[in-house]
Amino acid sequence: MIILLFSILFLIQAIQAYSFYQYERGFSLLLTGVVGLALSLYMLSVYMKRPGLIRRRELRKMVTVVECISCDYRNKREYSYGDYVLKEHGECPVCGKKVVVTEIYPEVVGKK
Amino acid sequence: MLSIQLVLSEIGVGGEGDNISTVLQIVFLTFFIVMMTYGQKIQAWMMLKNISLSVERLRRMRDEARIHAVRYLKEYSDRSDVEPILDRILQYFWIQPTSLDPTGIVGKIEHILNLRDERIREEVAAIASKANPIQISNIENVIEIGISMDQIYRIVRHFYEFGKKTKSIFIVYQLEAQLPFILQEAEALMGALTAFENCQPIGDGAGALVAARFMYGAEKHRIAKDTVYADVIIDGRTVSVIKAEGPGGNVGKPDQAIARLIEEYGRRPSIIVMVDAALKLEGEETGEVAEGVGAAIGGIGVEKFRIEEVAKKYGIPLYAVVIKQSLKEAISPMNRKIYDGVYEAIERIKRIIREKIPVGGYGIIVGVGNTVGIGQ
Repeated sequence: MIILLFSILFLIQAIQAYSFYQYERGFSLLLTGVVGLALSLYMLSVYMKRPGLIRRRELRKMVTVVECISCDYRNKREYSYGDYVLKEHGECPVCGKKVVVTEIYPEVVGKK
Repeated sequence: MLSIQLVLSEIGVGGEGDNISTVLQIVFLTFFIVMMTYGQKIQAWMMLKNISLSVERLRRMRDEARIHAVRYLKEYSDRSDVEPILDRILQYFWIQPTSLDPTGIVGKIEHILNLRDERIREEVAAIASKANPIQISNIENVIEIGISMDQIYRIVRHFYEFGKKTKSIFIVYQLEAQLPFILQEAEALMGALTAFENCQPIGDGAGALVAARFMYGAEKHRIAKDTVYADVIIDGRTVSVIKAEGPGGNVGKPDQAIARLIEEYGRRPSIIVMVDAALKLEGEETGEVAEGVGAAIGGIGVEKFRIEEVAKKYGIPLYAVVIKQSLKEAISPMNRKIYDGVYEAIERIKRIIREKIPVGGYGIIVGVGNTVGIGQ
């Protein structure tokens, strides 16, 4: 912040120097001001990325995939408490054989 | 331009030796001297301000982990003194046996670690009288996360306070350099909390899932503490598949299971294949499968030592198949890419079995990992 302040003051000084036809002084002040401004903006951007500040996070929901052990039946639904992988989950609506939970994983549904 | 010059002249700015330029030069010179003299201390102070945000974040995560553990325990407990007991358990530590005389140290470490696990399990079983064995395993894992979070917070706070006291830039540098990794691990542990509470599979369970898929439908037998095995036929070869008993959060005793199969049951496998999750390097894809040789098992090294001893004693080749993932993915709910890695690993193991075990021969597959959310 201090460097940013000085950079702005140097730039103001540069404008003043140019307005009084002091081109050499104005140019050196302008150069210093621009370099200082770039450096301070870079440091500010690095600071903004520090941990502890508010960041957008992904919103996830857990899904369960069930599959028939015999046919190609496969269904994805929302996870419910008690699901675990290889848990038997009733009968297949296509062939009537056993349906088993094969996958439980998080799906990204948005950001907050 | 002339009007600007008039205004600036009125306020004593511009031209030769204007007041504001002189003041600015003095301020700049002072700033320069101060930075030269106290630059390091100012830098340390600024870094400590940043670190304090992270310490505060770790404190909130530690407190949240404790709240989760308390709430989870109270669901299965009738006792009114859950919180003081939990606070006592959260500060459990273990002291590594001395390595002055390294002979027999593996046995000593195993003894201490078994004692620690038994102690925690007894405490949890005493508090959570309404919990079944699966829920007790999950409660243990939630408490382990609480213990880890507490330790992480205390250690980071120690170095933060030490750096603040000494204003040493080197201590502060080292702490700041480590913080991204520490925070990543802490966030992953918090993700694992929900997984253990809800009995959902985590990335570390990839090896256990491979074994579970091999042994699905076969008769299972308990062979060691929290460990089961089943004999299955794969392309005309008999294979004993070992994994921790799920769907509770167990890691089992795969070393004892292998030793029992070979030494007590007298089985002579052509190969032992171990499948586990492995840490990936930056730039590698999650779910990538790699093959190698050796005992693919983590931990402090006790189980690894025992498995290697048995393999060496009977001259059994030890093959490893690993499913790569990051540290965060290993202790977070298992993601889709890891499932793809599991299916790939299954095919690789089938190929190894076809190549290395003769038809009619015998082998062992060990699925290593925390089996939370994975049945068999």
